[in-house]
Amino acid sequence: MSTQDGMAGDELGREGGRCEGGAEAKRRVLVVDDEAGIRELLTQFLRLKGYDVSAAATPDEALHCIESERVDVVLSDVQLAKSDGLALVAEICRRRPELPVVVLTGVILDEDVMRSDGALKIAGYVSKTEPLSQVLRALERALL
Amino acid sequence: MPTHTPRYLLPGIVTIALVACCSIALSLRALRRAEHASAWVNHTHAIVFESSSLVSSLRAGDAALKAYAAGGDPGEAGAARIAFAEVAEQFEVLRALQAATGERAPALEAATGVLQNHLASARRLLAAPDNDPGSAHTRLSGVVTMAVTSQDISRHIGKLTEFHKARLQEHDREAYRSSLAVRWAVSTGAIVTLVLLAALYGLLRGYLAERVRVQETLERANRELDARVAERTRELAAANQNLQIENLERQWACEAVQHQLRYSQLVINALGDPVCMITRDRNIVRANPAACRWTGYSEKGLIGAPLHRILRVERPTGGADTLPRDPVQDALRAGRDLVNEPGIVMAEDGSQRRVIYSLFPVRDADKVVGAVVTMHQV
Repeated sequence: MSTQDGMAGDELGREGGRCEGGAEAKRRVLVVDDEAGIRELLTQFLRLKGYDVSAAATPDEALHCIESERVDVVLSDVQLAKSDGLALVAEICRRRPELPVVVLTGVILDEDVMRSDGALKIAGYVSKTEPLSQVLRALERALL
Repeated sequence: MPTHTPRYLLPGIVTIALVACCSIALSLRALRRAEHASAWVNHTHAIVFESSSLVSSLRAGDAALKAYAAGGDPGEAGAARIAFAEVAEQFEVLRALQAATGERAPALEAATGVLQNHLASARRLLAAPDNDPGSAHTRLSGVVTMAVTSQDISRHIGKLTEFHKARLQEHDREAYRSSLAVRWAVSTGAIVTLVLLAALYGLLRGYLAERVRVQETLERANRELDARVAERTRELAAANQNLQIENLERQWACEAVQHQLRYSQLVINALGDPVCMITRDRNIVRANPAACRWTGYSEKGLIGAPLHRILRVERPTGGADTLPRDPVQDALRAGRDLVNEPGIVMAEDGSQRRVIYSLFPVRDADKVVGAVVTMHQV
């Protein structure tokens, strides 16, 4: 697990990560993806947009992170190596029911599959084929 | 901003120092002269004083001797002795004082012989017996004689006194002139010094004011430059952020394409029927795993091979042979589909299986660049 404060986000523009009425407390996003490239890309992007970002490669790291850190929203891939991302989402919902989860779907059909599963309280879906701005929009909607 | 010392500062300070040094030197010189003149004046006054005292003592001695000669009073004789003794002593002092000046005094030299005779006469008269009538007559005549010599002595001593008084007056005039000159020189030096100091103060004040003005201008320019640098830095930071975001968007788009390709590949690979992608020249450029399984070729062995190596189209009569015109070639040229046409898949090991195949042209900007060929076992 890698947890880093967003220095670039501090120095550069702050957009979506700033709380209303205050510049100090930035929203913290937990990015969960087994692909290091995707994870790093999302981390950099969200920091540039003003978020604090924690990153996790596995469900265990993600669960440890939400237990030990302040996390405002989770952005998780549903296709994690060696495990099912939906199971992680279910566990997060069980441990932190108030914590919104946005899922990244690598395969187009995943969205339909997840929409049919009413047991999971998923705050948003974004396909990896969509632009990054959609990821940001989904996070902002989840944090409303 | 000028950092060097003004050009006029050193010459100005040197000039002021020179004027001040000259004034001080003149003052010290005048002071030394005054000290020397004071000793001379005291000495000369001592000569004058001794001269006056000598004349007084001489007159007192003459008066006492005259009274003694007239009355024979021994008291008067004693007084005369004392007075003449003082005269002798004062005359020696006067001579010593005059000798100390290093100058000759003709009046004093002229008085010396007369005074010695006068004193000798006095001693003789006082030495004569008191009760002798002849002595009384001698004393009276002696007193008369001595009155003449006494006037000579007084005249000579008076000349000496006048000589020294004249010198004192001359010295007073000279000292007055000298003091005026020194006062003028010192005053002039002080005024010049003050004027130079004032001028230097004015110049330095102007110089410092100029330095302050230049310093303020420089600080203002630095502040403006800092503000411009900060603004430019903010603009660059914003531009850099935008570039980073664009770069990340581009990377994300590449990842999305990769996902799409992978997904498409997964779909194609999942098909159980052979699927090949061919060029307009009917060469295979892609083949799915089912095509490899059916034909026994590896994917590498199929890539670049002509389609007819694995697929022979069948005559309508049912005999497997090449037709005079290749329907695949015709469909590619015409850009039309072939659906469920009969054919034979030829494996690497020579085995065959009857299939129906379909061909769907692939267009890029309305231009046929190839086709997808699918095969299904009959």
